[in-house]
Amino acid sequence: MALVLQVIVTGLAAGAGYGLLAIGLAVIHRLTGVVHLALGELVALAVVVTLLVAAGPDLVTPSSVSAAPFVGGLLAGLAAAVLAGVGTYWLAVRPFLRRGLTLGWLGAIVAVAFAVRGALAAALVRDSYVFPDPLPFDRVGTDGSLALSGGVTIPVRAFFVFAIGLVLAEVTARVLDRSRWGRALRAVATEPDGAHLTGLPVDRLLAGAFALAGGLAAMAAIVQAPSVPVTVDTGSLLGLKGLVAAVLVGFGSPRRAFLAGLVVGLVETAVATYDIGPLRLGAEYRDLVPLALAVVVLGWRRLGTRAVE
Amino acid sequence: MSPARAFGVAVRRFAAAAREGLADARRVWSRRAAGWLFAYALAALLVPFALSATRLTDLAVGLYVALAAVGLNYSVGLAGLPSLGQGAFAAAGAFAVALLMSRVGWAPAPAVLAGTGLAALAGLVAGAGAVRLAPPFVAVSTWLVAWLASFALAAFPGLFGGAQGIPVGRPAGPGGIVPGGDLTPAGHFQVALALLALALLGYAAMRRGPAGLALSSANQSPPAAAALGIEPSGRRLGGFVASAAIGGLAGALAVQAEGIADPGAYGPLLSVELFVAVLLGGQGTVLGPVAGAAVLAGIPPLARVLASATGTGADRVEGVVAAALLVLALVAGGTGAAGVLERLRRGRRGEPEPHGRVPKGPPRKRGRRKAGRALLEAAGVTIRFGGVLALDGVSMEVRPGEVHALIGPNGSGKTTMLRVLAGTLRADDGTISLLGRDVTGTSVRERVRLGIARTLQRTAVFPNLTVAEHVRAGADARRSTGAIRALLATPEARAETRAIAREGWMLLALAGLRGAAGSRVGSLPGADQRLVAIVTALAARPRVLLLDEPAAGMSAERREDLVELLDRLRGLGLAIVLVEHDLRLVRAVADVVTVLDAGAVIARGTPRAVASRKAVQRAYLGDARA
Repeated sequence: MALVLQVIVTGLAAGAGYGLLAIGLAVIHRLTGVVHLALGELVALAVVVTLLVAAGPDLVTPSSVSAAPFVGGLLAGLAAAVLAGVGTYWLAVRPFLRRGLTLGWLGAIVAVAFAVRGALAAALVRDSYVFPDPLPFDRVGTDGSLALSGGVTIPVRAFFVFAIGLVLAEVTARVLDRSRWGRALRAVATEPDGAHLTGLPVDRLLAGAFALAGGLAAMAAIVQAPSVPVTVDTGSLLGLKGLVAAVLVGFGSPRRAFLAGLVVGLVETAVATYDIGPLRLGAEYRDLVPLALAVVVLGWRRLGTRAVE
Repeated sequence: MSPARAFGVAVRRFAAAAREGLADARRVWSRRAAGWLFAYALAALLVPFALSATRLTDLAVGLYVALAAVGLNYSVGLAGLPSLGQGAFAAAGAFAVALLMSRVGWAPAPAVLAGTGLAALAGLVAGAGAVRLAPPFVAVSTWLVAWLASFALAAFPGLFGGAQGIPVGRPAGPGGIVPGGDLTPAGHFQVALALLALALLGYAAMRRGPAGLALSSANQSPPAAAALGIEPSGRRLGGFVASAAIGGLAGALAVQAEGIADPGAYGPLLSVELFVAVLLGGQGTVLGPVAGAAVLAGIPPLARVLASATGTGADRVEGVVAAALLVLALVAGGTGAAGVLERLRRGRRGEPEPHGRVPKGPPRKRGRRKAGRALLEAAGVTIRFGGVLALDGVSMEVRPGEVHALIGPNGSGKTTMLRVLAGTLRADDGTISLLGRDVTGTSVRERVRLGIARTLQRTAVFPNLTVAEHVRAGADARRSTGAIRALLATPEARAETRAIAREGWMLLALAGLRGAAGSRVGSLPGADQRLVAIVTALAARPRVLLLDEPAAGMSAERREDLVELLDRLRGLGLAIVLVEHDLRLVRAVADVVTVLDAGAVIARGTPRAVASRKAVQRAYLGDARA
């Protein structure tokens, strides 16, 4: 029972991050038809920039970090993600989208993903880094964890990560639903040419959506980062799991995308923790199962089936 | 027939086919082509003497990468499936070979076959779900497959060798193929060159052949292709599987050339590089992927130079610089190097002259209802869209040599009726029969085969195909020889192709489009595009032709052309159902007019008789006097 509780709490905390990424992917897809395959890498960029500013150029992390450099790092990281999002739109998406060249933006976006990944690989010399925790969670419970029966522990951070994710998702959903900006975005999504004719600044709106996706996901990643070591793969994994969640709900509404993210988080944590029936799964299958699931779902849902009269 | 005689007949037929084939080959094999082939073979034989074994191995591996890129083009260029997972299929081939050779002790040749087969199987599984998806989701699906493969390779270091990889023995020394099927560096270089040439020839043949034409049309306009009875899914899957198999073959051989299977080398980056290579060269062109692979091969050295120019840690910066160069090349390159070459060549040849007018036929006879059996018959067709009754028990029949016009106000159900006749829409009630045979439940493709062809309301052409190619694509549904026979150019397939070309030529003459046969249809004026759409539908050799507003947007002058064409088709005994808003045109060509209003037939008869009916005037002009 204690183990179930642990899986649920840590699964939801991981899933909150995937959910926020899925929101960004779904919003961008509904606006432009683009699937932002580089989003995870841009998020990793934010995490590494935050780390650089907060912990200094050597990236040697002190056990705790004072508030001022961390806030500076957070802002710098967010700015990096937002700028990278806008940059991706202008450089890699817009030139091709206008001419209807699907292959073009696909190629450019995956190339951007690997350019960012290459830059991060160059910056991160060691295999993994510990992200400083600005909040004193280690003073709660025993060393930051709640001890349950049978030696099972639940990190207190997990509750915080999940709560932040939930709030961000709800705020985003409301903003997209109710605000002027959200309405304008919906107008662009349903009728791009019409929106252009009514004088909406379509280009700026779309760049804004890319910025939103980048910033949102970066927040999620930075909040989550102290829980697990940061490696070159951190961003790729986040991006992929977010993509899996978005695929599960067919790039649907923000709330559904967030829910799907939570489901992905729960599934992967369960897979990594349990022996399922006669199948002895384990940590090696943690990344394999969600991806395989998404491939099957894609074939089965026939997403965006080619229009045939 | 006695066995001996049967044998004699078979020999004679074979000899005839061989003679014909040689004659064809002589026509195609210009002196220049033969020269190229000779130079290619000479390079394959002589280059190994000039280079060291290491250099040869590098070259061979580079050629295998090009082979994987050419293979990917079968999926991207032919089948219209943007696959970001070619690296995963290469990995399937590579690791199958490595494991079979190092763990089971297989000889290289059977291991390569097994690796290729495994990659093809993986392609079949991955492709089965992907072929029906829209292009961006094909990319998502294959992208996930690429990462899945890379995670699987990393998750089981015990099986796949982990960071060290799996070593595969390779022979040293001179000579090509060592007994037992092992290849030396020189042998790999020659095998790679030969396979690359084969893959390119196969691509060129497929692209020009009926399968390539059908796929190309389906990629450009899915609804128009569907209306012609072209069903692309099976061929798309075929292209995807071929692409995976060639990728697997390339991986299987590259592992043997390098002597090691390294899990790190078969990650998603490889998939991305291959995809970008295809784009850089220009997808859909024959030589594009090779050009792209060459650019790709040039990027690491360039990145190294740039990185060392910026100072320290050259190898660490290399990855960023290489990827950034890829982005730049994509944004700057557009359609790719080979695309530019092709455009230059086309520009030099010049666009063909625009065509003339539809030639005048014999004087028309019209107005008399033909006696005899109805060709196409609809009885009591009813369609409901939710609560709306779109068609309410509509019956009609069309005889050979008769133009039957369907008119009525907007939303009266004309196009809906046409869709029911063509088979794109199932009636809730009622039957459709062709020559007395019930065809109510048959698919579009089946109906096209049986002789019901249709054009769409919007301009339903494939902008990047030429007029002549349209006619060939239109004949797709009635072709009986498949893609493999076309690829091998068997006598049956070639006879069929010739017959279709001959007939297509006649059809073009009928519509006055002969002069435009070589033009891209996208470059023709709208009126011509509509005539092309009609001729394309005719290529399926229909008995019944369903036309949806063929005159929309045509000038008065071009409408006369259309009238002339319809008259001649009527003269050939075709039954034509015409949905049209322009009543002048209807009066000029129709033998019978059926007027629909709100899904029901309100009048039927000759154009003159129908025009004078009160109900028709009310439906068109409103109920002012009532």
